[in-house]
Amino acid sequence: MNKRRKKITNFSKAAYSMMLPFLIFFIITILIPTIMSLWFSFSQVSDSIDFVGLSNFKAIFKDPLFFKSYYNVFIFMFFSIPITVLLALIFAVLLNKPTIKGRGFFRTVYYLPAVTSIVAVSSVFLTFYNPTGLFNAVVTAFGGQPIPWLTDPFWARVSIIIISIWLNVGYYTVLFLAGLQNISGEIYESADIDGANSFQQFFKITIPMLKPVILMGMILSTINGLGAFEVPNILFKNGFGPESSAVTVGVNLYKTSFEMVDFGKASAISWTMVIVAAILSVIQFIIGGKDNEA
Amino acid sequence: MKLSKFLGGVAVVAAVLTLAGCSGGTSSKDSKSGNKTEADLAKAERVKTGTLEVYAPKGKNTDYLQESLKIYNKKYKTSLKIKAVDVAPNVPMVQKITPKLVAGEKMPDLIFLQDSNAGSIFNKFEKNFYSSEDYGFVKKYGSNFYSAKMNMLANVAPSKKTYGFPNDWGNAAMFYNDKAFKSAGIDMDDIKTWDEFIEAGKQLKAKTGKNLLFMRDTGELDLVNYLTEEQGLSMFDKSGNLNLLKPEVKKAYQIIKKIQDADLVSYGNSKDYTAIGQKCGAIFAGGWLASYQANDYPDDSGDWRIGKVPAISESAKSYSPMSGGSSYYVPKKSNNPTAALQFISFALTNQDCLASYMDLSGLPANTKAYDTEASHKKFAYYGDQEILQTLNEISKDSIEGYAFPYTADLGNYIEAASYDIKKNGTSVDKALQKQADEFVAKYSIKVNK
Repeated sequence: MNKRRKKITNFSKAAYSMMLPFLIFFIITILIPTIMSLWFSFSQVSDSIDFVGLSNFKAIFKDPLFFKSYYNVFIFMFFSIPITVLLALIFAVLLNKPTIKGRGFFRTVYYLPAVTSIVAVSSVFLTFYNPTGLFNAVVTAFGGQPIPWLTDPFWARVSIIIISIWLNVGYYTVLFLAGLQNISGEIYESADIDGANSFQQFFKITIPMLKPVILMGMILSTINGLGAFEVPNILFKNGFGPESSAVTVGVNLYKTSFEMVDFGKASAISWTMVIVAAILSVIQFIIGGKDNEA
Repeated sequence: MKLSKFLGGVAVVAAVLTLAGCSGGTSSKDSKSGNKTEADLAKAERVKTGTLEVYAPKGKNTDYLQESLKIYNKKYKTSLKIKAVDVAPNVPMVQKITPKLVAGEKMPDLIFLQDSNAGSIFNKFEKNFYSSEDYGFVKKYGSNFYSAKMNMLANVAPSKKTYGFPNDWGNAAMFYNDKAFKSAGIDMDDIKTWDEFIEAGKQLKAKTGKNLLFMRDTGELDLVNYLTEEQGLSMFDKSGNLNLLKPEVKKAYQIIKKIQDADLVSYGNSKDYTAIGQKCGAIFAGGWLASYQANDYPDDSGDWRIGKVPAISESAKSYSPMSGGSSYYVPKKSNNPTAALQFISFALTNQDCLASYMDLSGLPANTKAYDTEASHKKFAYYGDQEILQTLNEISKDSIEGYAFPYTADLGNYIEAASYDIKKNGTSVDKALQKQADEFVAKYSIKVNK
């Protein structure tokens, strides 16, 4: 018995020793900044750090731009997340088929946007959205009217959604592909024997089996969407866009931090992001069903 | 178990040390480098050796500092050095220095900051800098600088004490394609008011096909500011309250509408401001445009001129709208604050240093610079016009404005109002009211009517 306990203790020591570097790194880079951010959100940060209670939260709730930024982000997420997930699913299923030639090449190509600088991508899209850019050249070639991509609130939002989809599809394709490869081929064989067609297999086997991965993808997209900053900031000089149609919570947070130098309010904004992301994630878990807990 | 307790201990100690470091940082500032007053430093002996760390954008400003340091070292037989760190003087500078200020870390000896961004720093961290006023710089040299510049610096900090060492200053000017206007039969020397300018624009378009000027397609901003300031009204009063609903702003929108209705505008992204403007009859911008225009569009050499922005009316006084400028600041918690104060006071007031700045296309805020030979340099791009003298004359009529932490953000609200008026057909009153309501709700300030 004692020998067994000693063995466990030795094992624990080794495990803790291996955890130590990560733990120290985690404390310094994540835990402490998180605690400080929470502290700042109840403080006025200046020559000294003074506790001010809820006044930072009261101030941001009085600002119409705060709500506008959330409204914009929800619009972006409402359209970009389902489209991204759907396209990624389609690509993943196609790339999972052994009959497709050059799968490795396509996987690399689809994944490329995920490792490309968002700043570079946004700058390239900026030229595409130019009144005489590529997109309007295509539209007018088909007899359409040039689209005011960046000068109309509706199209400004569409512009951001397009870039967001383009940037994320590849990443989620690879994520879903990994999930697909964990689904045993025997399940599909059984379905074949039972006479299920491809659509039935997709909706009755693939989607349910991929649910946890899809759910994770949607939660990641939600968190990324709330913090979106680079794309609106590059497409529009001030990150706002026409009638503030492009301003995101991330842009508002950045401007509050580094234009207003108000770290108290900025921390308060960031904590609203944490709370909203948590609420949305819980909702997604609930909608996703109990079986996704795995 | 012991190891897990140890790990827990590490976590707690690290957290406590970091938090203590943060709060301790703020209190230790006063006890260490910040314990000497400006008056003490003013009496200090000249520092002979050392390296000044300067945060400034690499280019003409760092070249000017290096050039000035040579003159300084020669004059005072010192051997100071400069280590320049390339940082843009606006938001990137704020980004770079604010974490240091919050954490109480060591700062550079000199920072170069745009006046419009200084308000947000000094609103929170005033005590972390040496005051140029208390150091005696303002009393000794202040009258040599543009009064608008000194007024701006005097109102940056909440205490209304001057902290900045004034470097450059510029007012908005009219850059116009003289050749194009002449080919349309217009002598721009005769154009004094906006009404005359608009008529000239119609003639220019009819004869050459060129539009008169650029406006932002997401809602005009610069012209609203310029036209308002020309009437002697800054967007904020001295107390920081908003002037957006004043009649002068509405008058500005009337003039803009006239130009738009006459179809004299090339619309575009504000990033393409100068590129589109170059194809128009005129560009309204600060003196900084001169150095870019000659480099970016060398084929147009000799065609362009610089003049004052047309007046709203001939009878009323016309002020020169602000374009902006930058200043140096000396942080308390730095290695060589005494040397920094001594050197920057010299560089900004010595005639040779100022002449070298103008050679590098800088526009010093020190008016004594315009007495030097360098200020009479002729610029071939502008038909041998002495543009430094022209810009100096324009700056003498500058409006006096203020830089509050929220000054830059107002631009977003003006753009939104302009968009609402132009694209949605909303009345000027209603559009301005909407934006003013949102702005004052955000910053808890008053709106003047």
